[in-house]
Amino acid sequence: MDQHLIFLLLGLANGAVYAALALSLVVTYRTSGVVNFGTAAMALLGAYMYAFLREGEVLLPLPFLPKTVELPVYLGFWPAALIAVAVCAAVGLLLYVGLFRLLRAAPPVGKAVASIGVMVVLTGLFTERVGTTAVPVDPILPTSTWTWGDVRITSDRVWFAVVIVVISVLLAAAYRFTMFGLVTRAAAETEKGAYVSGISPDRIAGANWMISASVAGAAGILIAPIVPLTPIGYTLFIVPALAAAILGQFSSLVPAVVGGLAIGMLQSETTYLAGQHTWLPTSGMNELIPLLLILLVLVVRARPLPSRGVIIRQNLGRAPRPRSLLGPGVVATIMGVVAMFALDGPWRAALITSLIMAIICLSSVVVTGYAGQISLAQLTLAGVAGFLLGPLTTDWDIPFPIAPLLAALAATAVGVVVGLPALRIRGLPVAVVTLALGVVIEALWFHNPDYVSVSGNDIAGPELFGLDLHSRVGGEFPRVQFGLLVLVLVVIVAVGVAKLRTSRLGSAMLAVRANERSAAGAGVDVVQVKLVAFAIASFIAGLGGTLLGYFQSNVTFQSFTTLVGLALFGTAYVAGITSVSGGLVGGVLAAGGLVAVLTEEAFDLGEWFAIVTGVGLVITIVKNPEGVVGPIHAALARRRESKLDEVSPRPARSDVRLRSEEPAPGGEVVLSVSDVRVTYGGVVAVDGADLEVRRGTIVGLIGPNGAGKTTLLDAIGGFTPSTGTVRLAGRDLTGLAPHRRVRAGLGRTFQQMQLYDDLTVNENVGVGAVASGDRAALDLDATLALLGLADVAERPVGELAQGRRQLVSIARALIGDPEVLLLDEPAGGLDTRESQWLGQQLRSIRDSGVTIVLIDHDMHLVLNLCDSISVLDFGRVIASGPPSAIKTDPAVAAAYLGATHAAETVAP
Amino acid sequence: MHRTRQSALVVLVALTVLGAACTSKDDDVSSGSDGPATTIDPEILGSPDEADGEPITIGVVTDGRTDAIDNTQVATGAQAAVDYANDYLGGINGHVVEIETCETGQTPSGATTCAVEMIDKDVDAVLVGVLGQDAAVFNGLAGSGIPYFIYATAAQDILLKPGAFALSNPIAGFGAGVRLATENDVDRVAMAVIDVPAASGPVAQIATPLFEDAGITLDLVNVSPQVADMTPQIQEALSQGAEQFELIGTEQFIASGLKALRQAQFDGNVVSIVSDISEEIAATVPGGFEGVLAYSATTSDPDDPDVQLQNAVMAEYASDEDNASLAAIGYITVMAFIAALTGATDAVDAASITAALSAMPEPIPLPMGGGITFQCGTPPAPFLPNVCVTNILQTALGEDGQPTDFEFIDVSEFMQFG
Repeated sequence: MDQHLIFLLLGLANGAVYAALALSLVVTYRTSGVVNFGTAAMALLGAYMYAFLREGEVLLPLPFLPKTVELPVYLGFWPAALIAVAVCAAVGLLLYVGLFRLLRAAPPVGKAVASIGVMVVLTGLFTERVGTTAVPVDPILPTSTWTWGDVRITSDRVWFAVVIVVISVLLAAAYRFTMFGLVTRAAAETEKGAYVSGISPDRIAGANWMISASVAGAAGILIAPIVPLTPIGYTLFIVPALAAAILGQFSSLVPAVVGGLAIGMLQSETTYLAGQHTWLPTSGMNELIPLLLILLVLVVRARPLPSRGVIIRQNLGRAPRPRSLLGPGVVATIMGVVAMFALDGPWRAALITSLIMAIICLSSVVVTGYAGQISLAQLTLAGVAGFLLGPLTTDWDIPFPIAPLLAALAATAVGVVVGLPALRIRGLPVAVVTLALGVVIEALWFHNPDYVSVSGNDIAGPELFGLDLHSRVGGEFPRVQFGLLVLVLVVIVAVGVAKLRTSRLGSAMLAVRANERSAAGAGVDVVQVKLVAFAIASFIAGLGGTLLGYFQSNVTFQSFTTLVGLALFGTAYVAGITSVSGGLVGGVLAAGGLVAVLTEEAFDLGEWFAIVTGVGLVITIVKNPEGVVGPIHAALARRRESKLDEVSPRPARSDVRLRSEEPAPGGEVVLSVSDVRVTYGGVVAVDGADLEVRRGTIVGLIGPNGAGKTTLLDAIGGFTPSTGTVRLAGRDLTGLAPHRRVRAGLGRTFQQMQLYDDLTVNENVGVGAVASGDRAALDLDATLALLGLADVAERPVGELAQGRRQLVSIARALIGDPEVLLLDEPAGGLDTRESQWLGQQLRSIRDSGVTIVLIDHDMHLVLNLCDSISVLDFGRVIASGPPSAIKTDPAVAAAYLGATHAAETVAP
Repeated sequence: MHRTRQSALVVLVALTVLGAACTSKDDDVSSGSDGPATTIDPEILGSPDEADGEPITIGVVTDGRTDAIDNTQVATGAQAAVDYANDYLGGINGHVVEIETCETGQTPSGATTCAVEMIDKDVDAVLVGVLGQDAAVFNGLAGSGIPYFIYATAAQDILLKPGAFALSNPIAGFGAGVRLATENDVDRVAMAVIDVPAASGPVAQIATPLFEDAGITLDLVNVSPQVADMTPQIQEALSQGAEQFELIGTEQFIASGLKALRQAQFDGNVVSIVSDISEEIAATVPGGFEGVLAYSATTSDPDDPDVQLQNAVMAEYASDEDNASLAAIGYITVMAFIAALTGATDAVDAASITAALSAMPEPIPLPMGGGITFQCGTPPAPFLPNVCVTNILQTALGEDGQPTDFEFIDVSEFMQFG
């Protein structure tokens, strides 16, 4: 038999382990939007329960109870397995009712972090109850040996894979063909829909949590005879399992299971290849497989995870704009200096650790809090710099400020690579990819004795201008001098990150975080902003890593493991990942930091420490989805708001002129669209549309529902692939990316406005200023004044009424000084009076020299406002001309009559 | 969540790679909690000789108890040894021995903090059994002049930098493997190694040249701790035609590897780096551990007088339940430290103790060493300056994974390669 085939078969057992966990991950995600990092811990619960029942004992994994209760009999396989699975189901239900139901409206990251908390608590409980020694479990499936030539395979491996596949097929069939499955799928599509049709989404979700917990428990039981049963035994399988779940798009069971099997089998094949080809690395190849598969699937398919339609949708916490840096900055710095001198020994070490971790948390604030890219690899990136610092300082003798900067720059380069997949994918898949990348870097490099000594890399320094800044001199450790160096860097990084938030780049990051499409619509180069965010964050993390290296004067992989990184991300999230203060608090809460040492000294928690931490994590997420610092920011914001309300709103000034040159109505053709065609699959949405727009006019685009109006605007703006040509002021825009078209002078608003609710009006509009490209942006105040927004300039957009929000989105498009403004339903959601007023504003915009193309259903507005109207039907322009001509055009009437209920709208 | 899980593996591997986890405590030698199975003769403790001189303070560092490993018993064993020495051995040359303990929590910052604490408390020596953060604690002590006396380590810093003394030869197990292969005319050996630096590092750097020097080809396969089923790796290593197979990892790792070897009906010598497999784990391997060879740095033979003394000390100064193999490691470390200084009457503080340890005049028996001797300052090879021991014991495991007998193996001739 072919060796390759044999080794693929040998990988079945590993694959089945991943497949089983992936199965549970998918069921959970599909029904409640939780990427459950606690899945492996749930499998462990099933396995422990089962193992003890077989020995005639009931394990009580709860504090203050006896560890086990003796049963009169040893249970057989079926009773033990069924009871264990039932316990898992009960715990699953409990988790839903007690935790994840409360988090239904929380952002997906929040739910994921809560599941990390669950994992920590369960693992801690098992440690406390059972200890770290492995509990042996007898084989469950038949273990005869099958022989092919000189290779032998034990049958239980193959049976295990078969059982998992059967379970997945049965589950998939149940979801497909039963009423319950139908209801589940319906609720997964839209919770609102479920409410409307009278089904309680709560019940469905609860039931599904029981199912996913049972699947995990059953998987755990089946894994137990193969993998030694220890409290952390299964945790490490989460990465390949996540990869398998992604292969199933977190929604299909069978592909996820097949993916899991494939990962295991390919790993086995890689083992064979590594033995045949000595140039392959001896370490890390196994970790590479899940990563490569995820990248292949995500990047090639480039579809986001199906997000669930929940009634309330929240983003990450608000990213409050720092008001004054000087006051709090000086106070915090003085506190830091005083503490550095006041504390000594272990306490000063804890303070320094906190400060260093704060820097790494701040890197998460930039990449995740600001730019919305969930990177679980920040600690790994810190490690990259930390591991490079050794050779840089000892082999090459590069002096202090240069060596850490070089190391941080190298981390930046790696960070940009880590960020590359994020260009094609969004949301939690980014998290999974960064996690998998972290695992690979750790295995290929940090673990690898080819590059790193078993004792770790020694680091020399730091010294600056003859000043000895070593963390340790003789028995003096940690030295104040080093502590102050760290403090200075923390201050610089914190101020830098705060400044970033208020900068134009920061606004662009928040814009990307809020909505990539609308950010592109505002002229933001999404690709560039994401990469810059990853670069800045990696640089910061790298700095943190070098400081950690200097602090310990030696780095080993233990400081930078993926699991520690995951924990640090959880800490940063809980502290408040969207603000500088959150990043700093994250450092205080981090492992080895002030809080950890304080609790250890004060309460001597011992093995309970992990459990308490996990419970604290979960409670914080439920109480304060915006993190520990959230309520403080909210209180500050309320204070400011009450002050704002005292200011009386100023009336809109329509006499403001934005441009000096006189309008030239009916001038030359500024926007010309010819033969534009858009197809979705086999459906033709826009079918060779032509459009000519003259400078200084308002052109209306009307047509029945589904005529392709928005699609045409998208095609003009480059948001959807199309054929045909688009020319703006003589320049051919065909083939350009959306943000380039915006910068060329093509402003755009969206039907749903796509504003950034966290940002103030000023900031929202400011994001649009990048759209001016090489041209000068318009004056912000003048633009706001023109649209009557001056009085709310400092308010977050989320607080404004619908009409005002429309104007903000127009202002955002306008400030980039566009030649042509494309408005998609600017009067949507406005009442007649507001709509008329909007018309006036649009006219004054036109009079200021901006050409406007708009879509709207308000015929009154369109007919009265527009200089020219084009009518679209079935993706073609069927008529063009002045409003008077359009009103009487029979073709137009026919198009509208043909549509459902719009006849009267054409001939008012 | 604030724990380094993988560092636990380092502890386990430090225990095992070095053939250190040896001092099995089965029911014959230590009375279980369900009754006095054995009676310990108090005579064994000898005649009282209370210490009353100026105290010498030793620091004992463990990782504490976390969800990955619990090695606090090292401190329990050390404490029992200290109490016994103060009552019966006259402490260290008459000086009362005092003990300061610290737990790293398995984090590098915790390790650094422990080092700081040891410096703050002005201990005269730091004693460590096995520690996940052993290098971090050692490096944390750098410059303090405090000697670092460790039972077993694979960390290069500890093995090479001045100020450390190691009671296990990290490559003796490899040397014994070479010797075994040579004796059986085996010219191809395979080795499955758990892929953490503490194991894969020494194997790659030392085992390969050691075997090659003896004209033996070594096929290495690193197995990630994330691998659920290691059959593919074992099959891969076997496919090259090895006639002797060594398993380097934790006892679970070894059991999994042995299972795969049994499936493949491998009939050569199998060497386990762990010499006491728990019976439950051994039972998961069809056919058990019968015939598997193992190396150990110390003995657990119930007839050995040192083992009997240790049992008596633990019975007197700790509870029966505390008498686990990790406790024995703590006990051995303290007893060896005391033995090394006995007679060196001017060794009273960090500097003088370092000096005395660096120049032990002659080899003395290692407590529970089953015939192995140690002499710090006289290393087995120039590239192992801090190692105090050369040789190792070999044992054949029974079906239940427990050692049957211990045989002294002289590996000194294999220490001079390269």
